[in-house]
Amino acid sequence: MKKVLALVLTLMLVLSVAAFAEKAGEGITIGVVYKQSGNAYFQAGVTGFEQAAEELGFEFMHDGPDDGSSDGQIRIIENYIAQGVDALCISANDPAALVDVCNEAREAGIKVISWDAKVDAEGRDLDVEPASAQVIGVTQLDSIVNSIGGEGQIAIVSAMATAPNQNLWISFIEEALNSGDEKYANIEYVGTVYGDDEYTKSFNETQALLEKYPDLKGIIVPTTVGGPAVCKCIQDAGRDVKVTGLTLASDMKEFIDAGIADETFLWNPIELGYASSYAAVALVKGDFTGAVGEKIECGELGELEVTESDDGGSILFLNKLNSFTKDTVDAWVDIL
Amino acid sequence: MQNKERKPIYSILIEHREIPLLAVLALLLVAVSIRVPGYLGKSWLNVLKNGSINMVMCCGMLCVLLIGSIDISITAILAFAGAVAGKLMGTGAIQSTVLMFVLGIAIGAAVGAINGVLMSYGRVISLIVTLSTSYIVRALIPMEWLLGMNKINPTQLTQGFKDSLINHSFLGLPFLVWLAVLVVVITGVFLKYTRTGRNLYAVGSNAEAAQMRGVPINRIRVLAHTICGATAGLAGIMWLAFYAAIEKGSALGDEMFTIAACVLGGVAVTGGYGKIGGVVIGALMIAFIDSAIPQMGIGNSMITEFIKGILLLIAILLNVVLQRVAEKQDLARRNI
Repeated sequence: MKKVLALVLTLMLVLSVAAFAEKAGEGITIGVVYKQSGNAYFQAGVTGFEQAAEELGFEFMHDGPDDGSSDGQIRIIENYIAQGVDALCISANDPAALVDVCNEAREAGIKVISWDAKVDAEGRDLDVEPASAQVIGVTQLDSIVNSIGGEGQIAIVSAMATAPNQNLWISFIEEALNSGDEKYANIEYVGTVYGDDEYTKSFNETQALLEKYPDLKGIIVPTTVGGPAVCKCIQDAGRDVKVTGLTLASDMKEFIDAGIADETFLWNPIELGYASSYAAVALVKGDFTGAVGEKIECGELGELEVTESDDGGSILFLNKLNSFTKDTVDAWVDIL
Repeated sequence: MQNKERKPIYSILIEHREIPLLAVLALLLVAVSIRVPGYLGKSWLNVLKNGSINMVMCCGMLCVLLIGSIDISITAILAFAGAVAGKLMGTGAIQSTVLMFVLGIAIGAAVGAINGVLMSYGRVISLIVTLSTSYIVRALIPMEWLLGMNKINPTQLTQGFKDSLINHSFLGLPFLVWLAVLVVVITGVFLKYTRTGRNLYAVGSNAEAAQMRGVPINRIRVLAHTICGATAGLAGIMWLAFYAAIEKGSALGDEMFTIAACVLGGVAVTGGYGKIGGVVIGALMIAFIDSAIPQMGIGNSMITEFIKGILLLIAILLNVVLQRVAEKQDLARRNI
């Protein structure tokens, strides 16, 4: 009798463990909307959703308009609402244009997450973005400091002088340089020039920098258009100046291989999709509300904290940039 | 009146409009050299290199302006020819550097010929014709059925091609510059010493009279536009070899600097008057302004466009004033 009881108890234990091991996202359907179909960047994002789906067991559909328009996205979202998805993950073509349809979805009980490009605060539950401006700025600064061996002159070749993102990043770079931190003690920052996100303008500005500062050691280029132009200029001039910045892997492969850039950065769309999945599942299950200060476990990415966004909504930063180096750039050239 | 044959200095100035322009260029050079000591010594090669592509297009633009027409599709042709050739090299269809140049010129000439036929036989204003073709050929670049192209990266080009214009030099000047010199010389000889070349002037100054004299004016007009297109196509390949990258928006808006260089060089936009020498100086002046402004002061980049506009205006005004003075003196001397 005791043996039977023990057996039954053991069996129950095993069964309960098995039941416990049922995946968190089982039975949840997520509708993923991105900016434009056929874009390699968003295909990589979808890969992130696939990875998370394997771990969490949810189902997802994905689509984006052919023309990269907001109204195309609205049609897709309405379609998803009609199909009764549990959550939407949207990379918005226009932050304001999607607010109405997103609220329509939320009234129907659907959780709305924007990822990569936000939906305005009043139309979303959570925004998932790669990194805070501070992390983006300081990561680039630390990289160039490393590349040039911790001492020498550095400059920045930015986009438009009025570009808000770039200016914010640059302000964090300048703040770090002025913070009195030991590792920047031997770095002399000579200033920022603006290539206006035009290839030739960036090229000419770099030429002038090189001529004006014969001892220049490093350049930070926080814009994808400027990156290859700055590198090509340095290559032609035959100068030993290192470059880092936010760049596409395909643009930079040549120059990373040539040693002009040791390391450049861009966020990882795969991780964005992956983190969005975890947030969506947690929101649907109700054990996470997306409020500022809340923490969420995002699988491989670890625990992330929700912070307040500039627009007053809540935002989840991965605070991790993807780096392209000699070893990793090849894997990314077809994606970014 | 012993020296009856001797011409006074004023009439020399009138006959050679490029002389006052040269004075303006020298003046600007001095001004910049005061601000940036040693400017010319450091930057002369960059000025020549950066100005080469515009210089080549100026030669074509001169031919078109001479017949009283205009072509604002040149930079679109530049991007299109560069993109087609670059794509073909990227897929491995073309490996030969020479073939790239031949292809670029052929594509450019074809588009230019279309411009010319529409403008002459079709009797559409050249401004409208070339505006239309500029939109069309630029839009063809990303079309899926044609190129489906986002961007040409350095990795898609052969090393031989990338080295062809920059890393080979003769008498200290890279081939890029020599190519521009070659095009200038050919254009100069063509315009001055061939019957067809002289006919361009005839058509531009008085089309009816030219027709009476038996000049095939429509054929001449098509020819002028074809030449212009060909130089733009060549410029596209030069761009690709120099910058090792090209995309839909490459050189967007730069056609105005080509036209500005010609006008600075004393070419009449109404047709019939213009010399290659003046155009060369005009193009040099534009290249010089482009190179000098970034060096005049880092951090002032926000107002570079402003300075560029002012400098262009000063240059053209000084040129006009000097011209007026010379003309007046000449008239006064002849007691008119």
